[in-house]
Amino acid sequence: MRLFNAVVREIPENLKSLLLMNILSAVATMSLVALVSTASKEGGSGQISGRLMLMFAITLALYHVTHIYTLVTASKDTERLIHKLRVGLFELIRRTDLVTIEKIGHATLQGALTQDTQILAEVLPMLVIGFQQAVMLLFLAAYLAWLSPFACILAFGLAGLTVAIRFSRVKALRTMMQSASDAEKRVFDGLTELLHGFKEIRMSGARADDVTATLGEASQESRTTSSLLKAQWGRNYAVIEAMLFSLVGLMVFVVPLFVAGFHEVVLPATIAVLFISGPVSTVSFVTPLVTKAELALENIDNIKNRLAAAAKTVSSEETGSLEKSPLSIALRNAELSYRDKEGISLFKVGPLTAEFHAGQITFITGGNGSGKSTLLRLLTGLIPLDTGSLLADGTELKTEQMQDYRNRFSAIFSDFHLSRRLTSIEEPNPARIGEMLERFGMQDKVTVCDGSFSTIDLSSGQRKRLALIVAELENKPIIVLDEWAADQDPHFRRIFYEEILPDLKKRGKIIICVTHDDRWFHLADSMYKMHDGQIEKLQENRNENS
Amino acid sequence: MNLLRLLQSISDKPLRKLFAFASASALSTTLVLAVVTIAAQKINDTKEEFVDVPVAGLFLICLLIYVVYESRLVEQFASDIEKAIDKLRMKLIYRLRHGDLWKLEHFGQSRLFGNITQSCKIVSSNSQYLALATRSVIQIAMILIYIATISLVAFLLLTILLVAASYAYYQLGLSLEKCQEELSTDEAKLFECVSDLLDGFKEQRLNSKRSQALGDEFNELSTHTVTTRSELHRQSWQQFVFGETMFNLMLGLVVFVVPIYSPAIRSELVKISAAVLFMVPPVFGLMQSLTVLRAAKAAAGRMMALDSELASIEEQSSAEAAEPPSTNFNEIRMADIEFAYPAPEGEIPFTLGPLNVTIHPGEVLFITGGNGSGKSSFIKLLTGLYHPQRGQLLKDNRVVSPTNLSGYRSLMAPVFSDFHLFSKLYGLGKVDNVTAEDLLHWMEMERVVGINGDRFTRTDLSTGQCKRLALVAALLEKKPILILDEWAADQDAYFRHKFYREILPELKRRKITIIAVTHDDRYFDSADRRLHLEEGQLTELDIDKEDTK
Repeated sequence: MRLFNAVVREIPENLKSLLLMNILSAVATMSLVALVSTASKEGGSGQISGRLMLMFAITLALYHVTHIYTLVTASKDTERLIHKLRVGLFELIRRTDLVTIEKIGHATLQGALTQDTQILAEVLPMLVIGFQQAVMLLFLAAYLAWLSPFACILAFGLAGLTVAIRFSRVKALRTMMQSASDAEKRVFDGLTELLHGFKEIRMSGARADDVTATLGEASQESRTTSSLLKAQWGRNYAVIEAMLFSLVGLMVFVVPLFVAGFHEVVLPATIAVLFISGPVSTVSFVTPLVTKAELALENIDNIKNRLAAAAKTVSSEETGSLEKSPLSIALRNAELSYRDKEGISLFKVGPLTAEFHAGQITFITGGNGSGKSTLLRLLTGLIPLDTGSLLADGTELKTEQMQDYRNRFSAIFSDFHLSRRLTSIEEPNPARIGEMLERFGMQDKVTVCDGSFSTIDLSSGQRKRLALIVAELENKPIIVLDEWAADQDPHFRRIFYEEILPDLKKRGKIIICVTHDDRWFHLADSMYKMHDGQIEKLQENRNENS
Repeated sequence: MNLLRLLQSISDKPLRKLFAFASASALSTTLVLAVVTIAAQKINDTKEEFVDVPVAGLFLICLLIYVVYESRLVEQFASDIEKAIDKLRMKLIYRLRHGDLWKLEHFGQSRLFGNITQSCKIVSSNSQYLALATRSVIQIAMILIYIATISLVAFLLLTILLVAASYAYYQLGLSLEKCQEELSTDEAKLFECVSDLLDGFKEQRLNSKRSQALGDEFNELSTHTVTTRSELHRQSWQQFVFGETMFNLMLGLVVFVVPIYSPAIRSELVKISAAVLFMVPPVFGLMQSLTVLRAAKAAAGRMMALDSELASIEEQSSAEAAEPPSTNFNEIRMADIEFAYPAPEGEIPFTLGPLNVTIHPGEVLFITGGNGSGKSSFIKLLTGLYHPQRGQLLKDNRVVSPTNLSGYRSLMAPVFSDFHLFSKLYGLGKVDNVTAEDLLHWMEMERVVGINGDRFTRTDLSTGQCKRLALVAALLEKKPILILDEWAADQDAYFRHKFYREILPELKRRKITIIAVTHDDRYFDSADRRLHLEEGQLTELDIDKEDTK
C-alpha cells in the first residue's frame, strides 16, 4: 500500500497515459492471438487473406510501440520516484544534528540511503513489467472467456494456483538464501581473520592450522548450504514450469470432457493458453517482490519520520549570525552526561571552563577516555551542552547563531573524514594547492583536478596531511587539530610544530591542538590537561618539559 | 572456457551427466509439445470432444520426467560447481596461509578479498542459469527438429529468422553492458557521496558551504544516475520487446507465409504455431543467460589467475614439512642484518642496520626510538617475518633458514602494534580455563570479558582493552619469548604503571624473555637492556637505574 501511495503522491504525471497505453498494448496482444488463430484456420482452408495480413502487420506495430512506451515511461517514472526519496532523505540527514545522527546510527542511515534505495531500483522495474503483464492477462482472459468461459475459468484457476505456489515457496527459499549467505559471511570473516591476523598466523603453525581448518569448515558449510539452496530452487522452478505446461494440457485433455462443442474452438484456445503462460510466469515471479519493495519503503519512511521529528529544533540554528569573527571562544562551567537508553548517566564530562584566544596556540593533553573529544565537540558546537555556556568574545552564543559559529571552524578530529572533493573551498587556487602538496611531500602521490583529490586511498598519516591542506585553504579563524601529528614521521612532525603552527599563529587564528608530543610543549601559549572528564589549566611549566 | 576448466578440476565425468540430464529434460518438453498439439488437432479434425487416454497418460509421464530431470539438472550442476569452488577456495587459502608477509603486504588486500569472496559468489549464485542455458540450447534444437518433421519450409524460414533475430538481440545487448558499467560508476560516486555525508558528518556540520555543496552534489549525482538507469532500462526494454515482437513475427510467418510455399501442410499450421510459442521461454532464457555466463566466466578466470599469482607470494619452503617447533633457546643472534625499503628512483631508501644483537634467555629488552626509526621493522626482522637483504639470524649458533624458520618463530608470542585480536583462541587446543581466568583477572578484565570455551565472550572493546586480551592470548601460548610492540601506549596511567612495575617483573620471574618496543621513558629502568634505534641504526644504551623517578 505504501508503494501505491508513494506512486500516486510522487509521480502522478504520467499515470493516465500509462494506463491507456498499457490497455492498448494488451488489446494489441489479444488481437494478435485472435489473428494468428483465424489465419491458421483460414490457411487450412486454402486462402490467405491480404486484409488479415495487413491487420496483422498493423497490430504488430501497435504491439511494439505501446509495449515500449509503457515499459520505458514507467521505468523512467519509478527512477524519478527513487530519486525523490533518495534526495529527500539525504537533505533531511544533512540538516539533522550530530546527536540525532549518532543515536540513529551510521549503519541504519547508510542502509536506508544505499541498500533500501538500491532494492527499490532493482525491484520497481520488475513490478512495472509485472503490472504490464497482469493487464495483458486480463484481456487474454477475456478473449479466452469469449471462446469458452469454462476453459477460461479452469486456465486462470490453474494460473492463480501457480502464482500462489510461487508466493508460498518464496519464504522457505529466502530462509535458505539467508543461511547460504550466512555461511558465505563466515568464509568472509575467516578470510578477514587470516589477512588481518596474518603476522600472528605466520608466527604460530598451530594457529595457522587452526584458522585454516575453521575456514575449511566454513567453506564446506557454504558449499552445502548453497547446493541445498540451488536444489530447492531447481525443484521450485521445475514445478512452476510443469504447471505452465499443464495449462495447455487442460485445454486438450480436460476441457473437452466438460464442454460440448469445444472442438470448434480447441485450436484458438490452445494458442491463447500458450500466450498466457509467459505472462503468468512473469506475474508469479514478480508478486513476491511487492513485499520486498514495501519493506524498503517502510524502512525509508521510518527513518524520515525520526529525522523529521528531530529536524524541527535544528532549523532555527541557521537564522542568526555572528557580528564578526570571534577573537576568543570559551566554555564556562559546561557539562555533558552520556546516558544509556533509560537515561541513567554513564559518564559525565565537566564542569569545563576554558578559553582560547586569537593568535595563541593552546595545547590540550590527557589520557584515553579523559574527555578530550567531548571537549572538542562541545567547543565546536557539534553537540549542545547540558548546562553551562559557550561564549564567543565573552558573550553567550544564541541558538540561532550556532550554525554561523560552527562555520568559523576548520577541524581535523581524530576520527576525521577526508572527502575527495574540495567542496568547502571557493575557487581553489592550483598554484597554492601545488605548493601545499609539495610542502607536505604529497606532490607525487596526489594531484588536484576538477576540485577533487586524484586519490584518497592513502595511509592515515598521509590523509591527515591532505586534511590539513584543506583546512589551510579553508582559511577559517579557528582551527582544531586532534592529535594531528600522531601518525606522522619525525620530518613532518617537525614541519607541523615548527612551521605550520607558528605560521597559523602569526595569521591570528585561534589554534587548539590535542597533542602528546612533549618535545614541543614549549610552543604552547597555554595548556590544559584533561583527566576523568575534568579540565585543569597547567601553569607555565614549559622549561621542565623541554 | 574458464567455467569448464573450473568444473573439470573435480573430474571430467560431471559434464557427461549434465548433458544427459539436460537432454532428458529437453526431450520431455518437446514431447509435451507434440502430444498436446496432436491431441488438439485430433479434437479439431474429428469435430468431437473426447480425451485420448493413452495420449493423456503420455502427457503426464512427460511432465513427470521433465520435473525430475530439470530439478536434477539444476541440483547436480549446482553441487558440482559448489564443489569446484570449495576446492579452489581452499587451495587459495592454503597458498595464502603460507604467504610471505612482505609480499602479501604489497599484493593489495582488496584484490584478494574481492577475488576470493566476490568471484566465488558470482560463479555460485549463477550456477542454475548456466544449467538452464545448456538445457535451453538442446531444447531449441529439438523443437526445431520437430518443426522440420512437419514442414521443411517452416523449419528453414524459422531457423533463418531465429538466427537473425538472436543476432540482432545480442547486438542490442552489447551497448547495454557499457550502460551497466556507466551505471556502476555513477552508483559508486553516489555511495561515496553518502559516506562523505555520514562519515564526514561533523565536518559538514562545521561548514555550511560544504554541507550545501554536498547536498547539491548528491542531487546532481542522483539525477545523473536516474538518467543513466533510465537509459539502461530503455535499452533493455527495447531489447525485450524486440524479442517478443520477433516471436510474433515468427507466428505471422508460419500462418501467412509458410502456406504459400507448402500448401500441403496447411492443416498442420497450429502444430507449428504451438512449437514457436514453446520456443519462447528457452530462447529468452538462453539470451538472458549469456550475460550471466560472461560474468561468471570472467569471475572463474579471475579466481584461477589468482591461484597462480598467489603461488608467487608463498614463503620459501613454508608449506613443506619443517623441523618440529623449538621450545627453548640459549641464544638468538642477529648478525649484520640489513634491510632496505624500496625507494623511488633518485631517493635514498630507508635502511635498517647493519643490526648486531644477541639475546639471552630471561632478559628484558627494551627497544626505543622515535616514530619511523625502524622499531617495528626491527621486530619483523627479529621474528623472521621480513627477510633481510644481508646478514643472518642465528639460533644457538645455527642459521635460521627457510626449513627451520617456522620452528624458530614458534619460540615467540607477539603482540604487534597493529595486532589482531582473533575471535577465537586459535591454535591453543584445549584452553586451560583456570589459567585463562587468572590472566584475565591479572589484566583486570574479568568484569568486562569472560572466556567461553576457546573464545573471549566479547571483543568489541577499546584498543587498550583489546591489547590486554591479546596479551592474555599471547601468554596462554606459553612461549619462551614474549614480543610486545608499544603495548602500553593505549593503557591509562594506572595500568601502565602496573604493566611496568608488576606484570613485566613477574613475567621475568617466570623466566620469560621479553622484547618490548616502548616510548615510556619513565619506566626504562624496568629493562635489563635498552636498544635504541635512530634512523635505522641500533645502539645499546646503559640503563641508569639511579636517574629514574
